[in-house]
Amino acid sequence: MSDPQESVQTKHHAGHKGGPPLSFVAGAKAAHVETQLIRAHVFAALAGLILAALFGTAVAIKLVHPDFLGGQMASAWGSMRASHTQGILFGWLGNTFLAFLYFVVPRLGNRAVMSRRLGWTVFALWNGGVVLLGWLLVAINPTNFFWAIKPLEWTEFPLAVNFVTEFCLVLIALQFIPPLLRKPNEDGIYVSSWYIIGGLVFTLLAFPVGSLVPQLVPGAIGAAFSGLWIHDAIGLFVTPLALAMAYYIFPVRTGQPIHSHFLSMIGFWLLFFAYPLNGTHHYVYSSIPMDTQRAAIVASLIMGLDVILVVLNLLLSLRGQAAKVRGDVSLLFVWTGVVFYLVVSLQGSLQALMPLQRHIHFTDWVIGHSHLAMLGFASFISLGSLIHVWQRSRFVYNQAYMNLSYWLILGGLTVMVIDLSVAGLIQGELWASGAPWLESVRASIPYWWIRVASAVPLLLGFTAYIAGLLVKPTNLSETSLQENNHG
Amino acid sequence: MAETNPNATKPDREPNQPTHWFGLAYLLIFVAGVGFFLLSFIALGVLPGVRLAESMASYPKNEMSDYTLAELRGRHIYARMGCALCHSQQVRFLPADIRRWGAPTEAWETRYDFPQLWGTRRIGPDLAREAGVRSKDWQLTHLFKPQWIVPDSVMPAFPWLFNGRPDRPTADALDLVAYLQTLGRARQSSTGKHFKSHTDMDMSPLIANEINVLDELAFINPQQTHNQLIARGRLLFVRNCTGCHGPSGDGKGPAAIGLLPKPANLLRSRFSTPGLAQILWNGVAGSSMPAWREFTSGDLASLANYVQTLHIDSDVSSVDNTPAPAPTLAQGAVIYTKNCLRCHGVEGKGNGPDSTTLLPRPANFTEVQFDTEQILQVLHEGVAGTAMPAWPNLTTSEKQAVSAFVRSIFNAPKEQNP
Repeated sequence: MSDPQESVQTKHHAGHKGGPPLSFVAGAKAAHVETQLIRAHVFAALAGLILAALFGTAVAIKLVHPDFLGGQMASAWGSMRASHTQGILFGWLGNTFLAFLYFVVPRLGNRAVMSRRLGWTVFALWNGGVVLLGWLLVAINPTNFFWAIKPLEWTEFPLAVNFVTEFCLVLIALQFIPPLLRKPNEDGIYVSSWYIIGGLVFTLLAFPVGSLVPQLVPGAIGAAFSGLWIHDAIGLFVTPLALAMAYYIFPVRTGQPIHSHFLSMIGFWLLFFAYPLNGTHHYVYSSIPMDTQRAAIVASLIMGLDVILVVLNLLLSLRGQAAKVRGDVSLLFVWTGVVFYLVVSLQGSLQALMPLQRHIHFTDWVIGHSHLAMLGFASFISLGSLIHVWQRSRFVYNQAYMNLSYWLILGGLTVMVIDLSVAGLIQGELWASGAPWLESVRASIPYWWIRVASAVPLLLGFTAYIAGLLVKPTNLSETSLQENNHG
Repeated sequence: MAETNPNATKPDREPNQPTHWFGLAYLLIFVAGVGFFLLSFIALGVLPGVRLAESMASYPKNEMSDYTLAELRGRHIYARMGCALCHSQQVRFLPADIRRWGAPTEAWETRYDFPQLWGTRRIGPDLAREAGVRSKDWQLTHLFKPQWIVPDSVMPAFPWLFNGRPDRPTADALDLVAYLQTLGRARQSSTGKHFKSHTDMDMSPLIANEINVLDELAFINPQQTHNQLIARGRLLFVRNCTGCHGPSGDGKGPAAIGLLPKPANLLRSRFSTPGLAQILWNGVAGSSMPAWREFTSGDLASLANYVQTLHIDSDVSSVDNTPAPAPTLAQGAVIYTKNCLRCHGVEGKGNGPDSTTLLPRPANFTEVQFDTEQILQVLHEGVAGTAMPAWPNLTTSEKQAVSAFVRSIFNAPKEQNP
């Protein structure tokens, strides 16, 4: 790897302590922002969140009541589970990221995005051709290979939808990367932009590997490639964009620069080096060569160390701002997401180790882990960032609803993750004991009931969040008016 | 944390700073985006892929048959119904997995799998070794309504694969079951010369050792009182057997509608202990009775004891309990020799010369004793789903004689309890 550090360290400290400030920190908006596109993507994201959460709730209920919504293919467990995970990834997080990119790229690059028309094309394709078409096809469940649900994780939508997705990923890269590259922002290139550029380029390459390659190569070989995408979806799409949000929101809302440029650099490069190499840790003790498994486990450990550095850097950037974090619900959401990022990543490193892996693999522990990642880490940061985007786009939000939403979602998530982790340990223990299989099912039922119960605060929390964006505050507080004036 | 930050006010930017960060921007695209993607693609995809392809190729192609068209269609249904979300098809190189399902999944077994269906979650059990474990009727009835066969199951039903009844499957259901019956087939039919053990050559020696001593592990079989055995057996029966055999054991559980031959009527049949042990451990090939090897031998003993208590003397008990007179037995023996011996065998063990091709095997009268009424009914109607025909040419007295004879060769279990 050629060494970027020399040139970067001397010239590109933008937004970091001791470096040139970024205009976005002061709240200036230099380039044109497509506010209508932001609004459209926010609405699509919220619809995606609620629908995907309802799919998830239905699936959770089906585990304790197999006949719930039973009898039709459209509401089969397998179909609704696919709609849940794909809805969260594409409908909720995908639209959130797009809304954020429309907001932040003109600020980071000091230049408008490439084209409004391209923007509406992507909006229509992403929501019509990926999310809605995907859900529709999952419900219809066609037999044709091209239109059929795929059994591959994080890419269950049919191949036909995958082609639209890939096309969109190319368009998205064309929409957002050139403004960050073409005309240099005189302040330099900020760490959020590194993550945006790296993540968008990586994902448009990695997505076809996960969706197409396992269809073309047999069994175990396909699993090796599937493992790559399972991890790339969260690691190289969701994580870089969520971190781009966190790195943006913290300095903007506190007015305080990022703690260390050096840590930002290390964090970024280690993430992009180590995260893609984690994939095979989903198939430990399989027939995939043991060297590959070991390499993935080592990479998982490096990843855990890297996340400690990233989170340390982010949290040190908030030194002295405790009161502000408590009082600002946008910051509070993002701060919580960053803390969850640390927890979920350390958990991930730990569970890749063989002694724990043999016990928790295939159990509900992993389901708890993935909810901690997608809901705890990515969604909390997204929810906080959307409040900021919404507010700075001259829309108002309702602080009281937002505070309520924060505590409901936090409560629901905490209950769910602890519940599923305990269930996973019990399942693993019963499986290892040689007890009849159904003992593990019977033992899981109380935990599956608690999981269903945890959906109540979560759904209420999401509803409160939507109300927070849509219901006008009864008396606009002075601070929120002032903040709006920053533009 | 309360410390105020002096850097909150930012230093002025240097004027006319050269904008050299194009270097960084392209580094981001080509190293972070493209370069590290390619690194992971090669290191975790291509390199292991090449080694896996070599290991697949080392297994001769002619010893493993590809899927038939019906099986392929079934596989596609399995994929798009999301079966792989709850059922893995990957027995890991771990003692717990091997003890439960058998040999770990090797690369060559997945040669014809496009795409892979390994899965990463087990709500139901792994299915990689499903071939031959359960009958077609069992699978179909279970797909139609899982709780009929496995009362505590949380598996969803798939009624749209049927025309209203488990014994009226659509072509899709038959294809799916055909596919299920292929899982592990190659492993079962292979001669074993292509792999030495259950362990991976790269596996850590500790785990390899653990797996290799697995067969030497003794089952724990605590001594229990008869009442404890019966109580445990009743619980196991309610949880596992009532779907087919019915809550009372009369063979009329909800799943019976889809099964041929019908589940045994446990009220009207007496089983010897070795006979029941054999049935529970191996299942009944050709019927829907699966093997119950996931139970400990202690649990199997409880279940066997409980099932033996289910037998009730029916209204013909006065006939049944008094030994038949010698002339009747002699007449029965003659009729038996003439008509039944070719299948049920000289000693009544169900191992006659014609029995070798029959599934399910002919009844073994030394291990199971049907009551007279049941035998008369079978002689009258035959047994659907088996090779046992009706015997319209036998007179009533001949039927009673042969019935008395086959009942007389039963090895009654020793009385343990009144």
